[in-house]
Amino acid sequence: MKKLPFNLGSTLYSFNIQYYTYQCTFEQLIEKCMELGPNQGIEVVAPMFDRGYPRLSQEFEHRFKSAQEKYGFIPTCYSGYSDPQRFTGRYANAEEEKEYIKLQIDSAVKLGFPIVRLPWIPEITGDLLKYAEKHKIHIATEVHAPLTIETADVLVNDLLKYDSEYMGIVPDCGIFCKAPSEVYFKRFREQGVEQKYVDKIVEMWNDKKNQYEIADTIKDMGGNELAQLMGIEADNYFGHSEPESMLPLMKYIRHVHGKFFYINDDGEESAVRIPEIVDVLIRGGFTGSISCEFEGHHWFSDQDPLEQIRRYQALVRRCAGVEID
Amino acid sequence: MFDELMLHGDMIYTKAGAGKNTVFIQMRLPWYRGLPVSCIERLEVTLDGTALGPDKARLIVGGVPLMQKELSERYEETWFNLDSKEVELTLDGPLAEGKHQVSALMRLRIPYFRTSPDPTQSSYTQYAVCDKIMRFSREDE
Repeated sequence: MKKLPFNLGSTLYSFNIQYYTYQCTFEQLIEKCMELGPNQGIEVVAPMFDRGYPRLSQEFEHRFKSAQEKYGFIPTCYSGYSDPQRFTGRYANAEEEKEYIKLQIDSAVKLGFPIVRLPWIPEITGDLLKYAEKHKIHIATEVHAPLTIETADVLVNDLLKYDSEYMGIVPDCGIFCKAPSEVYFKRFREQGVEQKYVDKIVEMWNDKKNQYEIADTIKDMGGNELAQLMGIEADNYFGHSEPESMLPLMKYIRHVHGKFFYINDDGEESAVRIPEIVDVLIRGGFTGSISCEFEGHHWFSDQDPLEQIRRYQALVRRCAGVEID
Repeated sequence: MFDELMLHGDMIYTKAGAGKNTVFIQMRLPWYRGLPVSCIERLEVTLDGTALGPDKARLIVGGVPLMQKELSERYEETWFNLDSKEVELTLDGPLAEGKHQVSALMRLRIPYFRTSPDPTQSSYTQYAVCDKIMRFSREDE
């Protein structure tokens, strides 16, 4: 049987609501993800699960390792932050950011993650890379809408400059959209945004206008704050990158955020260009992990994230021409 | 985010040793991940339509009720997203037992964005608001 050349997994961020509302513990989320099949990858947003963040608490280390022993998941990515605005009235300076991030690299190493997802901070990138190389862990920065790979030139230039196997990018597939999602439209329509504003937002999104241009135009047309928010979200969630833009950078891509918003009963996603993304990843020789990231919960809380991720993984396998296992 | 869950449970309660006009409620952080306490830019509680001043609705951190200015300095204390915290309410007089209308507003600075070159001018903030009928009982006294 033909096998996928890359790993499939989930970021636990997909289960935001179930976790926050105490429906599922960390361990129960892992257990759910393992229902999707063997060798599931797991990505963890550190400050969502570890009370000790940015340090690693003994409690979380124990829970994580016990769960790994019990369920046998594959740790794929530790998601960290630099939190530059944690201080009131000032940003963290470069030294403070570096120390804060090093603690998270240490945590990721102890937990056995091969990748730490971090913001890109040009002043300290060189130092962090040295630290990552020493610990043999890959540091990578997410490319998320409204940024695209085509417009992330400063970041890409640094990747090429350092050209290290320990530094890369994590494309968030929300940057590869053919249209805003059907659930996004549904939500704003239900909240009462008039069709003329919806039409204008679609027109401007198609013209790749940025969120400020869209929001200003909607405001000038008489649109209220909700209609303006709809305009802003179009740009912040649904990006205009071409999947092909990953090809020249494949050696720097170890991890991909399989962002999606809603897979319908026919197994299709209305926004993200999943078939093309899978095609490019396969052609580019990608052997890392796709972390499924269900984000439809931003507009509707009624979808079961596990079922959504199951549909997403089935779609990816279909696109890759792999039999459902 | 999670605004409607910000007022946690439905109890207004008293504690041994607290003043006669002091009551407590439980609140949750309206965000998906833990945040430093310093990121709370504003916390307001309204009881039966009367807004309590910022010094009269104080979040308890490490056993100590803190005023806004003190909160803003506590960047090493985290409010974890699964934990509820107590808020101490100082009232002008004793609270009648029974149902009360409680409203809460919290403004959070989301620390991982850099929205402006000037950190004092602009920051990425989120407002959460929550209204709820809560019940006061002195039975714990």
